[in-house]
Amino acid sequence: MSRRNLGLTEPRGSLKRRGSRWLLALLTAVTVTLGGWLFYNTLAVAGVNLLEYALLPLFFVLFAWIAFSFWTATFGLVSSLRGNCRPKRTGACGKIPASLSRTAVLMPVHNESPASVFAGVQAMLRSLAETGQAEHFDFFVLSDTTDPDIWLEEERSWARCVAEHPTAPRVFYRRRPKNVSRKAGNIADFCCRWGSQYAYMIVLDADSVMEGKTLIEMVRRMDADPRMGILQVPPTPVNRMSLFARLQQFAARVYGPIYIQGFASWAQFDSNYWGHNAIIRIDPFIKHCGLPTLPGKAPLGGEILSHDFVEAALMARAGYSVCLAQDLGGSYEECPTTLLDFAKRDQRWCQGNMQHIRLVFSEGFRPLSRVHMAMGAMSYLSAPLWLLFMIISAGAMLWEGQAATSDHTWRQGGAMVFGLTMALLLLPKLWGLIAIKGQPARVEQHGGWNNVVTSVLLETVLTTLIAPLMMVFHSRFVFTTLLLGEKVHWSAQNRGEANTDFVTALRVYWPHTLLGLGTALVVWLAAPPLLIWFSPVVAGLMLSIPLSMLLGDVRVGQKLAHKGLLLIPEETTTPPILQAQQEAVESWERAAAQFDRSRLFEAVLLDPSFHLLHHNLLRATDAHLPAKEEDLQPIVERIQRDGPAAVSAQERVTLLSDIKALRNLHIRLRSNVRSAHTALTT
Amino acid sequence: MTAIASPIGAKQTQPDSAHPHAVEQARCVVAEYLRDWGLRDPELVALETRRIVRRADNHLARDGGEPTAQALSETAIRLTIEEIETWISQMASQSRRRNNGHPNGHGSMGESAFHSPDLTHHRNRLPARLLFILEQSVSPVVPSTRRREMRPQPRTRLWKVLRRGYWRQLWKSALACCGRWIRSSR
Repeated sequence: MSRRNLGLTEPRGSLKRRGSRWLLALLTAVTVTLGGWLFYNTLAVAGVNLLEYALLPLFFVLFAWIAFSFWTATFGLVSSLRGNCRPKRTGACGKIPASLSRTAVLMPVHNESPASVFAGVQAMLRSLAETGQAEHFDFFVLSDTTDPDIWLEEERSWARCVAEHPTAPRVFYRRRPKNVSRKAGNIADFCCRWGSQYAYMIVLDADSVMEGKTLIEMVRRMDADPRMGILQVPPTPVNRMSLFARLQQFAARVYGPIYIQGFASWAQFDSNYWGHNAIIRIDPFIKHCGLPTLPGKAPLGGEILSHDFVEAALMARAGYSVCLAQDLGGSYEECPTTLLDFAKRDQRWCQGNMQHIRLVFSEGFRPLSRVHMAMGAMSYLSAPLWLLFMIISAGAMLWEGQAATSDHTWRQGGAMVFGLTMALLLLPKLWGLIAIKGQPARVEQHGGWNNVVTSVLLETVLTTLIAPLMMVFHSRFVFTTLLLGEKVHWSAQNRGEANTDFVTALRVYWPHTLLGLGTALVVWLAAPPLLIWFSPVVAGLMLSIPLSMLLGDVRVGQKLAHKGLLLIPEETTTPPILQAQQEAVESWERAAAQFDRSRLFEAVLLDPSFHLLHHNLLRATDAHLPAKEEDLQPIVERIQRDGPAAVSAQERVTLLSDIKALRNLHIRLRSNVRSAHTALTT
Repeated sequence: MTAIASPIGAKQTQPDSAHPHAVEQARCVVAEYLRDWGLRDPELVALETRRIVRRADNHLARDGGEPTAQALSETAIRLTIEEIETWISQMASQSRRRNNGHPNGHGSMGESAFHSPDLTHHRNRLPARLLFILEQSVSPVVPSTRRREMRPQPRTRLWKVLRRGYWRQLWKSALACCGRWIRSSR
């Protein structure tokens, strides 16, 4: 259905935006042509061999990718210098209207730490209460948790949360007995059951926090524009202390705004949805955004894993705009703290984005939606292409022999191509610096100008070393997904701070180290002058074990913070919502520690109040899942004979899901057992 | 709920069961259960225990035969749970009614406890916070469901030129065309 069919008109400024798109495409094309011409002329010095011909298309694709990224950042810088993107600290945009549409704030969780989840909820409840508009919102903690201990801990935490917040907004909790279609299925389940009672839903991640004013501003903007389907607020990564996390946080705060502004300058009303920290109009979402199942088997077929891009594309197809609120602040998330956790998350995203390749070439999507999906796929495909480019280029140079590489013209041409490539990669960092230079207050928040410059240099060196490691990871993910058909499993993301120990680093990074050593040896034996060109890549690979340990080290991150390096404004002046979150996390963790989580199963069997709470929650949320008698019998017998610890996690889930069986066992046990410690009064 | 409908200290009108061992064991079990619920007054626990066990005994007597200690204890615990559930539901609905009168609902149960002697009486028996939590668990944990279907969008088809069927069809028509041409040229 087109925008015209829906009676909708093109948004204002779309002509200008189309102009931006054409200009971006033109500048990218000119840059690629220039780079390609330089590259071809360099190769042609000693005659182009067969391998070099194979290099040319790879060069064009990779160069186009970095040129596109460079010009997006440059658009962002221009926009920023013209004063178009001064992110507001919060969403306050003048007066708050007297009436807002009913909005559900959704927090889908899957085996997350309940203390962190409910601490985030509590911080947002307080922030919303301060606005005086809390009655327009309801919170839903939508659990897909499969670990029985975490499940019970969630129930206990929910009970504590509602006891502490008896007033609006209400906090609802439900756990799905079956995790159909992962996070997308979790949200769809909400839409089917309660979606009709709300105009919008704000989708969060388990580690997301948003200020009350931002939530209200999101609703206000949706109310003001009935054709807006999705409004994405860019989240700022915060709260982490490891060196790797602080690198990401710093990069997101210094370079992120210009990339986002640049992206917004050409994509504004055809923007994208990143899966969380976004508000969605429920009615069109229900009508038009039910995810199709892709033909074929997983990993490339079956259920769509990266649902967000597809949902945005479906919403756009239905004629609704998908917007980016790049001017809104007060939207936060947390990032992985170690390189390994980052890579694990990327593995899931990689498989999801590979599925999008098919959709790029499918009927019915808007061109910009195809661009977003292609960009998502390319962010992973670029790694194996880069690896292939390096292998072929090394082979080509060996074929040519040392005579070619010692030629002055060849060296000059090579240096120009290298220089241009480096400029495209590094100049956006300079753009980021220029953008914040004009904001003295922000420079101070980053620890002063000298610290900002030092931090940028440090970040540049470290990310240069990290890049080849990620290239190897991504190449492996793409290879295993596309060629071996390997499926990723849906496991909870590790969101805690934990150092990478030597054994783990050795176990994970020995292939990287060997690859680096092997490449260096081969290049040194074949053409020693080339080693200098390969050094940024092989250095990162060879140092991967100590580098990963260094990056995951919280103490190093803290030391740098004390020296004022890699600082972000949220660390120098913590926003009230993050302060509230920190206090809540401490309080919730203290409360959680008062009752051993591993004994909650025993508590639900014996403690009358906790048993009743669990029983009522199952009944109220329709989460009762009766088990077969032949499955239950051995579980019950084993518990009676050997105690609650004698049954496996899956068996505990089976019993906990069956109201009747659990009640009968509770009664039977309480007929013999004398007393139990309550899990609820703490 | 029996505990609310009938005064706690109601006089016993029926004699205890003739199987003292089973009754004694059931009373111990129920007393412990009530204590775990937060009842601390020994006199109150004893009275409630006797009443519940007697109900359980009567209940089993209707089925005929002398109940075992285990059966009596289990029935007594089951009745206790049922009574507590009903009681908490009533408390929750009373709270909700009061909150509806006071939209801001400042500390719903805490406030209502001061206005209702009955509730105050019961409140003393359970920790207020625990009671509030349980009230929440029987008041809407989630809003009432108004089911709506979210249908998966139809499968997106690949572009024509990328479909195997398209090329197969094209090949077939090309062959057919060639065949016709050959036949006509003969």
